[in-house]
This record gives sequence, structure tokens and C-alpha cells, in this order.
Amino acid sequence: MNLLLDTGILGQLCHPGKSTNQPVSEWVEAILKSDSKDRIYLPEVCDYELRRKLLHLISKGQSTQRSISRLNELCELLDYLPVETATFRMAAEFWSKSRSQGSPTASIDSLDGDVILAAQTAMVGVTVVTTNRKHLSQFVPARNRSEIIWGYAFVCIRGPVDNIAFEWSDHFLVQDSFGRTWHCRQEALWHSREEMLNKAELVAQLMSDVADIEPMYRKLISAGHRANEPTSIRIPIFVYSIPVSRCQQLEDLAATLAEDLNDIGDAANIPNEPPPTR
Amino acid sequence: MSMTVAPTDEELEAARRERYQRAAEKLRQWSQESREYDERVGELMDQELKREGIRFEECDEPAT
Repeated sequence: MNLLLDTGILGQLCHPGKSTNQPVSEWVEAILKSDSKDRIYLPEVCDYELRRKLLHLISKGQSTQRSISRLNELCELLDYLPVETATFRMAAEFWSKSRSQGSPTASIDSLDGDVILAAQTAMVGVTVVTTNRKHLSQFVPARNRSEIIWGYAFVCIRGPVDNIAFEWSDHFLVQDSFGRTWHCRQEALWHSREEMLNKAELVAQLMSDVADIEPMYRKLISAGHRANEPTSIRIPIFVYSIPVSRCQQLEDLAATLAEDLNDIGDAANIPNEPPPTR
Repeated sequence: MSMTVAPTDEELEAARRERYQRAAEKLRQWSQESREYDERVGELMDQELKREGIRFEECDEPAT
């Protein structure tokens, strides 16, 4: 899935040491380090929106050139998307349309960065990652970061986990015994099958072939996951990633998972424990 | 007279991956080098963006 970063996200990336920005930074870092062909676009209008604020803060003595330098580096290293004539023309159409529909994104006398951003997004046909989905989603696919999912981790089975190491965060990475890295997000045990299938619509086609999943699952089961005893690893996980086109296989696996959970007793008895502290 | 050869798709892709790796390294480096600065300036940035968001809400208007 190709992504385009909104100004809010970009501002967070320029200050990744802020505690609330770290999950965003780690999430983007994981995408950048992955071996996929996914692109991350930095649109010129967001460069402008962020840069003017940083310069203003500097003029007031509240920031330094450090933030600008970081922004410059991101502009060089990500896929920079300049604004072109066609972009402005499409933005004008968005602006007119939003007003006709009674859903403007800025005041009448504003240049309206939202419609320019929407036009930049539409020009390359990607999804914009934003902290302000309300205004953008009327024009283009727009998602909050937490809605962009690369895989699933089901917190579902107790017992030791062989061959899997994982580092927990909002978006976390799991390394399996084959040395592959899985991009995961926590999911609770008791999602209904319908919920799972709906969420499958958000699964990107990033990861592996579905044929890899069942052997991993069998390995987890054979490693003693039917046992109910608490272990040193309190939240073992079951991980898989399925392309949207393979929904039937997801459904089949969900059924298999449900059967195994029945085997170990009432699923509701398994607490939805908080992630371990790191 | 000199001739330039356009890079192949493979070369462009390799260059992109290399850029992305560097970007990832930068993010990691920045997250560790200046937490106090990032907390302070990042908070100011948040406030500025929220302020703009509030202005948008206030300026919503009926269809014309």
C-alpha cells in the first residue's frame, strides 16, 4: 500500500523523541525498513504547512534550525511530491464540490491546504495517512495511522512460544523462525468472524503466501498451546497475514482457530491481558 | 559530446530502497538524540495544528 503523509504525521516524524510521537515514528520506520515496494510520499503542500509553522516558532525563539534540517532530510529521502498545475486544477474542483455539498474544509478566504493535499493524493492514487480524516475522506482515501494494518496478531493462546520473538508496541514486529519480519497489530481474541472479515479488507498485500501460515499455526499448537498453565510469556500470539483476495482462507482459518479454542475451554476465560512492559 | 544513460527500473528501485533505509536510520537517530527538545517543540507543533483544526470547525458553513 502506497502512503502519503499529512502535515500532522510529518510534524511528528520531525520530532520523534516526543513520547507520543514515538509510535508514529516507529511505524514509519518499520515500513521504510521493510523489503516491500511500498512508497511513502511527502507532498509539497505539507512541506509548506509544516515549514511555515517551524519558521514561525524559530522567529519567536521557540524552536531551532534542527527541526527544519530534519524536514529537509525527509524531503530528500522520502518520495517528494511537488505541486503542479494539474494539482491546483483538481484542487479547485474539490474546493467547488465541497462547497456545493455544504462540507467545506476551510474558510471562504483561505487557500485551503486540505483540498490541495487531497488533489496531490488523488494525482498519485494513494491513501493519505492523517490525523484529520474528516476533511480529507470526502475526496480521497484517508486513514488514521491505526487503521492501516499489515497483519494480525491474535492474543489467543497460552503457553510457551517457540521460534517467535516479538517486541510489543502499538504497531509491532514479529520475527518468525524463518527470519521473516511480520508487521502486526494487536487484535483481541473475541472478534467475531464478521469483524475479522471486515478488518481483512484493510490488510495490505505486503506479507507472505498463505501457505506459510498453517505450518506456523501447527507449530504453535504442537508447542503446547492447549495447556492452560500460566507461563513466563504471558501473551503468546498467533500471527498470520492474509491478502484480501484470500478471504475464504481467512474464514477457514478462523473456523479452525475457533475449534481449537473450544478444545482448551471457554474462550471467555482467557483474559485480555495488557501487553507486557518492555 | 557526452551521452547520459537513463537508469534502469532496477537501479531506480535500488536507489529508493537505499534512501528509505537512510530515512529509517535518521528517524531512529533523531528519536534518541534530543528528547527534551522534541517534547517541547513537538508539543508546540501539536498546539499549532490543533488551533488550525479548531478554526476549520468554526468556519464550516452551509452549501452555497
